[in-house]
Amino acid sequence: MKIYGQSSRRTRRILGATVVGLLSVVAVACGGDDSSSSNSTPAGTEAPAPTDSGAPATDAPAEETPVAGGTLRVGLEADVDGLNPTASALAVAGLTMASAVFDPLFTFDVDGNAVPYLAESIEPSADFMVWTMKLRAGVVFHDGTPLTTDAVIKQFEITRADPLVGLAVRPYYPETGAVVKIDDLTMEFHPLEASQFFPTALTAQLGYIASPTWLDALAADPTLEQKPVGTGPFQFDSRTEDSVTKFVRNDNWWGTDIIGPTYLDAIEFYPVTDPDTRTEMIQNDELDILHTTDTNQFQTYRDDPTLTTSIDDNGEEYFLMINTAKAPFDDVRVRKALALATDRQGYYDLFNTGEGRMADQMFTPDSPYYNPDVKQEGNDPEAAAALVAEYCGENPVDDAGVAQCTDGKVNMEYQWSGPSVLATRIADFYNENWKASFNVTFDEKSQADNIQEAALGIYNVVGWRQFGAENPGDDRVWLECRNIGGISLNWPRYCDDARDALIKEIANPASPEERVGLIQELVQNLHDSYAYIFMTHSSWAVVNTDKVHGNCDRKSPDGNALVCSINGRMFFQSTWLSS
Amino acid sequence: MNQSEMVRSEHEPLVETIDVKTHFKTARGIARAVDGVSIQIRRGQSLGVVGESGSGKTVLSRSIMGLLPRNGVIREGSVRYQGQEIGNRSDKEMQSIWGREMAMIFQDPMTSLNPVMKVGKQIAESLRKNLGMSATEALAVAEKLLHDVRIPEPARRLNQYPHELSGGMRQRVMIAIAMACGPNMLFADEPTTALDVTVQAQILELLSEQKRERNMSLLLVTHNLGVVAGYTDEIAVMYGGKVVEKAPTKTLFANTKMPYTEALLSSIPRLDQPSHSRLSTIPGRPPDIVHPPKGCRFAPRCAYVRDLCLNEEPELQQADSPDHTYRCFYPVGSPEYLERRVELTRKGELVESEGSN
Amino acid sequence: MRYYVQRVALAILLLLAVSMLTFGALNILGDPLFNILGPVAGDVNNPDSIKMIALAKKEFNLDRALPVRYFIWLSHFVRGDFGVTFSSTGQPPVSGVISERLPRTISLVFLAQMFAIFVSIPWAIIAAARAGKVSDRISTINAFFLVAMPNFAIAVILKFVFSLKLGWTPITYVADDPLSSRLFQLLLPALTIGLPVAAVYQRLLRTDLITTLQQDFILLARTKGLSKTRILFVHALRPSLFSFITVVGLNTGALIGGSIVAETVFRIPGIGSTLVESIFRNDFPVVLAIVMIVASAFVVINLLVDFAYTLIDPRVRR
Repeated sequence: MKIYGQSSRRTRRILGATVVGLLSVVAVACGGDDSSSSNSTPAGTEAPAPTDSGAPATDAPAEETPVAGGTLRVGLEADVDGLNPTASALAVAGLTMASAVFDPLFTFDVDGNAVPYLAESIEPSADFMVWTMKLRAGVVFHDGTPLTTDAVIKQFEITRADPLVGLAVRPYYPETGAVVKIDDLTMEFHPLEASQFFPTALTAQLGYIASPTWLDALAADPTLEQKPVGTGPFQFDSRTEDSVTKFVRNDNWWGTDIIGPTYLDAIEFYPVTDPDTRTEMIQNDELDILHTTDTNQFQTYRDDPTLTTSIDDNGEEYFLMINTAKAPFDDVRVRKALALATDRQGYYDLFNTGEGRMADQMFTPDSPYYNPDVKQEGNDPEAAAALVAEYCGENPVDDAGVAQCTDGKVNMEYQWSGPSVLATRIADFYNENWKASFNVTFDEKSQADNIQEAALGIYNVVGWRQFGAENPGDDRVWLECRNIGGISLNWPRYCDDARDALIKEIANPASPEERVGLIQELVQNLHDSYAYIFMTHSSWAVVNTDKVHGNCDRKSPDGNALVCSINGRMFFQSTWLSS
Repeated sequence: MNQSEMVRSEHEPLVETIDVKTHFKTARGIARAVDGVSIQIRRGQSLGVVGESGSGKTVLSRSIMGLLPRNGVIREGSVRYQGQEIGNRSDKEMQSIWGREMAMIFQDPMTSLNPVMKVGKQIAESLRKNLGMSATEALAVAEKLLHDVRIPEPARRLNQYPHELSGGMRQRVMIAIAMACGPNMLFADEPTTALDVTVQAQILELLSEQKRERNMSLLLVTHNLGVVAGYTDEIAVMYGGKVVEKAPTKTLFANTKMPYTEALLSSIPRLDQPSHSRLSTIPGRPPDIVHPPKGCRFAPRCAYVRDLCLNEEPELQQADSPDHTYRCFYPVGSPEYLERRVELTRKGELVESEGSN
Repeated sequence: MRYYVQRVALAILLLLAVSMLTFGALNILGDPLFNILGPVAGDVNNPDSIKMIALAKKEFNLDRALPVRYFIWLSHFVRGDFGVTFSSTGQPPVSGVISERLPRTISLVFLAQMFAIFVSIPWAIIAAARAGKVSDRISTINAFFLVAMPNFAIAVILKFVFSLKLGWTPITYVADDPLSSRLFQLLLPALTIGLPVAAVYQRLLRTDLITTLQQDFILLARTKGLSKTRILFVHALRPSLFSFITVVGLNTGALIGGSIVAETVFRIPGIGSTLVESIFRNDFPVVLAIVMIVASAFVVINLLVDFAYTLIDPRVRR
């Protein structure tokens, strides 16, 4: 039973919680650069190890003929407050729902390239500073409104104006002339910096285009954000918050002729915050497919012959995040000492119970960007004690003159969001690790407060989950100096001009090989900052019953094979149910 | 009614007990509340059962009616109703007898009427259950019954709750309930004790009148010999679970044999005394029925006690007439009695009983 | 009549006190501005954030003194305007959240209460009629077992047995299903919170029934030749119901508490789960509204209990 604190996992429209959503918003909203225009992608280069091990493989794809009909019941880890791409915090569950009702301008193919979807094509200028995008003709929203340049621009501007969702957009575009209309179906994007990977910015929330009519109506009646209107293969039918959201097939979908038919009559999304309950529901034939990050359930799924499980740990990493702007952790020796004092192996054994992998950096060894030279320190309390002794020997004080050491140990605070039994046990575990060299104060916060304090830099050390963007360049928002401010997305407030320069280069490399090298260099830079103590790679499992087929048969309009799932985010356009 | 169809002699008893014993299992041991009692009541006859509290008179009446709990109670002997053994019947089997054949009136009409049920319904439910009347029929009969027991405005009373009535009226309601289904045998357990002295006589008068009109047999349980004097044909005096003297009422008063009966007679409360100062003149306490004394149970309190009384239990003896029996070695009027009486008078210890002679 | 007027006046005073305490506590425990705007509230150097802070202060009257805010809230509340949830858009209105979710909790609590009442009465009667016998002792052990079990443990066991092993009932509640399905889906949740409560009722009623069964009027009823069933149900039950209905009233609180667990475990979007969620999110207007609704329900039900006394016992009518 994990009923503790689960309701706080739900992402709400509360601005504080919206920041959580930024994890995914940002991955989409900030572009890298460069040409992933449909034809100009440097072949296979930036393909990260396919992040799409996800999604159920159909057992005998050759023999089976898809049949139309049926309602797919999907178990999600949380509900959303609304499905408004311009303002709602869309995390994995929200993006899964949004992917059914909205179409993205671009989407990732199996090689990790952003390929056109609702867009027909995109062409960069030679310096990658101007991107000319053409929309597909004849596309209409579920409410009959046609898809035009105006719709895209309207959405862009509304998103940029949103106080928090806009945080990840504003730094990367000029105040005026960011998107310029050429004709009804053509427009130009003018990002502030050159990036060959610009289209990745249009693969999720910023690229999910909503009906402009609906966006206008939303301004008057915010409750309409419960009833999204997009161009997607499914359209809104009904929704009861925290219980069930139902979409039905859009029989006028523009993609039917180009991409292929949509088989399902309907999809029902069930937000089930308790992972055990999700398991029970799929075993009790109340769900057909689900996603989960609860590693304790993985073996159960594998043991059930009627279930197909695919696990993907190429997404986010779990790490301890350190506020480098505040004493005592403004001193790199103290940060390093904390890492050395941490029993990473013990954590893995105790809390991951053999599932998933320990993390040394933001990439798994499967990734081409993996830097084999970067190992996360840990499990060395003697070395930690030596560093602390050195630091405390200098009798350090902070700006207010408060001593940072007591009895030869560094004073610090560890905070986490709760209440949660598990999180409290983890805190106890860290205390055991650290108490030889640190005087640890513990602070359990509500999730909202925890995020607020991280955003405002009111913390020492906090457990966090992040990184793992499809395009590694997209993780820049968490790292750049420009994202330090009143509200910082650079939570550790660690500014390094060399790192910023590196990030710029990554967005616009001379060759794919160079890019790999640059990203590996960034990995080293991150490690050397000691702002993050990497612990584990988070694993997402997508689990479906043997009635579910065709998740991986997705194609782009240009015929590129598409990923079946991205870190727990699922797509159902090509899914069908056998009876 | 099979039993009533049988032709029976006037002299055959309606209710008869043969050596009935009712013993309770208690923490201290077996309490012999009723310890071998044989009585007969003929149709239309009334029997008074008299004794102090703890003498077993109430237990006797409940034993006959079969109202005692099953758990922790040892029952022996025979209880016959119209010649049929009923002592061993279950509660369920007794349901056909209760209300229709036998009924009971209790001491305290306040606690004995259901406080949350209207008077009319309390009468009517018995009629409906036993005589199969409809609700309206039963209420009509209930109204008549209330009229019969001299309750003014009976129609209005039907819709009243017990707490809205006076004590005397409640007791009349209870009589109405008891008589509703025309029972042959009526038990009245201290029916007037809880009532005002002025009302007591009215209630007894009513009881006796109804008994006559309906040709019922009556077993009247009381601690007060004065009460039974005018309303019973026969009296059984109980002490320590046994009948110690039994005789037709007139005989008993005229020719008392038991010193205990004599003592009871001397303690009849007078109108100027509070009704509960009973038996204050018999020194000592009623016998311990768990560990009864050896010999005559009254001996420890008896002014005329002799060694024999303390060692041997007297058998039931017959007095001058066959229907007068008693348990005493030295009854009133015997030489030993007179001898002791002279001694006591000389010592001045026998002042009060003089009036009763 | 004066008695009732006093009771009602007392109830209103009680609700005022509850609302003052809750309002005060919620406003003291956290900075409302922070809870409305999140990090923006702390971002005091950014002109955009300053604008939003000013707006929020106006919208939620945050620059007024606490007592003034309380009276503004109260005057709205009594007119049925529960305010808006703490969010930048001020959406949805609290009354919307409540009116959508309250009926589900009410049906759950009502079902559980009905279950508890209609199970505990016959159970207590049978136990009282056999007081001290083996069957009564077994039922006593069962009752203590149920009382001692936490709600969530009962939920897990019920779910395991009836849904997973037997496959009779669905695990979760689906708000869009037809009424009949939803009632069926409420079965296990209602049992979850109703079972322990039924056991409490049974213990209490059994004891009172045993006392009543020793009363003289029960003996009189027996001498009327009435059946045992009629004596138990008609004569003994009603006078024994006093503590029972008192506790039924008081237990409404316990049931709503239990519904928090049941709603969470069985995925019922009711006000119990919303309350917990809103507390985590510091969404004070919602917390306040729910606390007030629960408190009012509690007070009203206990007022009804007072009225019920007079129905049960004519002697109370004055």
